[in-house]
Amino acid sequence: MRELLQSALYGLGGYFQSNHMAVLALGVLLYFAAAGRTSGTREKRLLAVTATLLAAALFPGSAAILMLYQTRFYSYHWIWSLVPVTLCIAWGGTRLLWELTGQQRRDGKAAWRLAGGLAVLLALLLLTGNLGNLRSAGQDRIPARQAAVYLEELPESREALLWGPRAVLEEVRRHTGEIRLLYGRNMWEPEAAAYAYDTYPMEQQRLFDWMETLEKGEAYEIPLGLKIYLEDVAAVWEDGQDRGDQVLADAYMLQSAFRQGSALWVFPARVTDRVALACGQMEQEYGLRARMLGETEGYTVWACE
Amino acid sequence: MVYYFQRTCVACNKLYEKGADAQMIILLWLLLALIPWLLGAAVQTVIRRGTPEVVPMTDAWITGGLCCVGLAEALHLLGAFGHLSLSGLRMLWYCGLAGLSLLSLVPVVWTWRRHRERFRILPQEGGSFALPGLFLVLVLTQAVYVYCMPAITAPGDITVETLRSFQAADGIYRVNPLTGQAYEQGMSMRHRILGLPTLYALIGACFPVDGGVLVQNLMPVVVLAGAYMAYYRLARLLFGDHLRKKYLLLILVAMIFWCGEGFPWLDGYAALHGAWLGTSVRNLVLLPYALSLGLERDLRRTWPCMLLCVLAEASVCRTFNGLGMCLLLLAVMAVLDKAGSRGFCRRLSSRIFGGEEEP
Repeated sequence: MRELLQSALYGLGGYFQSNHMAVLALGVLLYFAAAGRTSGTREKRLLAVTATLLAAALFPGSAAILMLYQTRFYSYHWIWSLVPVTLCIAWGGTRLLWELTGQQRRDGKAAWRLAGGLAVLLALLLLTGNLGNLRSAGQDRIPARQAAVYLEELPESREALLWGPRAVLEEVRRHTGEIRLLYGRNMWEPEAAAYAYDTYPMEQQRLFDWMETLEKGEAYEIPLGLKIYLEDVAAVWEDGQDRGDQVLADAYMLQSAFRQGSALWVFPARVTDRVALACGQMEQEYGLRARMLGETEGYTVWACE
Repeated sequence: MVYYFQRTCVACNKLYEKGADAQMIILLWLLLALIPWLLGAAVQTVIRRGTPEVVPMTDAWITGGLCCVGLAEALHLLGAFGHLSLSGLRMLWYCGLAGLSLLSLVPVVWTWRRHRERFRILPQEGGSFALPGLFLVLVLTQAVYVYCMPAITAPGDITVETLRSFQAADGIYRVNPLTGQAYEQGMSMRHRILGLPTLYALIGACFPVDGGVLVQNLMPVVVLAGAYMAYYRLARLLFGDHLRKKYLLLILVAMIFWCGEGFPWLDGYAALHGAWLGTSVRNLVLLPYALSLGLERDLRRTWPCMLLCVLAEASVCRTFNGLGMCLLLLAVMAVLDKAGSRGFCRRLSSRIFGGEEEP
């Protein structure tokens, strides 16, 4: 309960940062309460229920109870679903526009006044709302989608588990249900992990960390756990050591992926040389042979046998 | 604007390339409009039997939509716990819909022949074209945006993956949707009973439409239409027959959707970016509909629809053992009504909102 209270206390700020439309709803409530201009019973009931639920969402105690009711699956912001903010603003806006722009007066200019009022209201909504550009944010996914389409055509993809960068794995499962993955989106997305009790063994988590390192390049610092592990098992990858050590570590991770059941791999195209070196080393060291099946924009596809 | 236009063209091309047969899409739209209306009209006719009340199209469509969700949920439970295959469920879905439609035809045709005026398809009041026209433009732009733009990744959403896994494994939750491998430790029971992916899978099974396009482009338009129907119902309750005010309210709702779309918990996001999600169906359709039922204050006539609302929410959204937001909203409204009928509260209400004390 204490945790919920804290979420309710700090979540309010986060909610108001995401949008200020609740302020408009509050303004509508205050205006109509002060002016006393609600005419119908239903309008009064709408205002009463909005005011009650708004207060319940604002005060931390009642908000914590609402959070308990909605289950911990959802965060604080979702209790605002209960407050009819959209309807309250739309109803209040309609009433205000109607009254303030004098729609009852038939002087031929009512439509212009209404248009002006609508423009002002639109400006208010733009100021208090939150415009996103979410649809265009997915443009960087195109190479991963192309890789998913390519993988679907491969006969190898029906049998082996696929291992690759997270963008590719996400797109593959969205594109087809036929390809099985070594690990899925629940590895790195806590919200997606809430749907099942399954967890991943440590070896697969290390493979994920290694793939992240490979994908993000020099700018990404290798996680300490993986670094210590690789130092232990491959006695490599300390600062100042030569490149051969990294190849040994890479070869070790590749054979580890194969032992976990993954024989189909996708790597970023810019590390093709590094992967080729590691594959050569893997063949020498572990007797496993990997070959490149093909490439798409930004990625290369490998099979191991 | 140019960018959006270009993206829309690209998305349209992709839709075409994906083999979305135009004729089948038109048929899909027709059935999505017609079957819920027919089922809902029958339910509403039975509920309003013995009264001369009109059955508005919006009420009928939402009620019928909830019935379809109920049927899909029943089949989902059969598949998840009775281990029926998806192809078996598809046959049951066809039979169920056909049976219910035939059954619905009886009261609808009976009432149609006796009181044709009871089925209202479009508003009959007059008025200028400016406000309806503006509303239509706003809604059409939203529908085109939702239908044609490439989908986004909603945080924590695994609907498309779940649909794909149902189709690939020909069954309900036979494999983990995120990996395609069998579950090792199982899944949460509360999540297992949610039937929304099965509803999408069953609709998708009837038409040669790509699952991703169906979930993320087609169904959002249906949910958006449902949202405007629910808000139109609210507008009708609040403004009666005043058509211009009703359209003005809908225009403002559309403007709010456009202006508040940056985060998943906002109605704009639900309408324009993630309308296929269970939480969006709840926030856009179920909660406004439940609110309108609560505002009607006619429990004898509205309780079946309230029950449908609560059950539909439990089927599409993770709730507290089925006690979701709709039930809480209706309970809060009932408590406020009860409190409002007491003398002190009535005086307080009349002091705050002004006007005469209500009897």
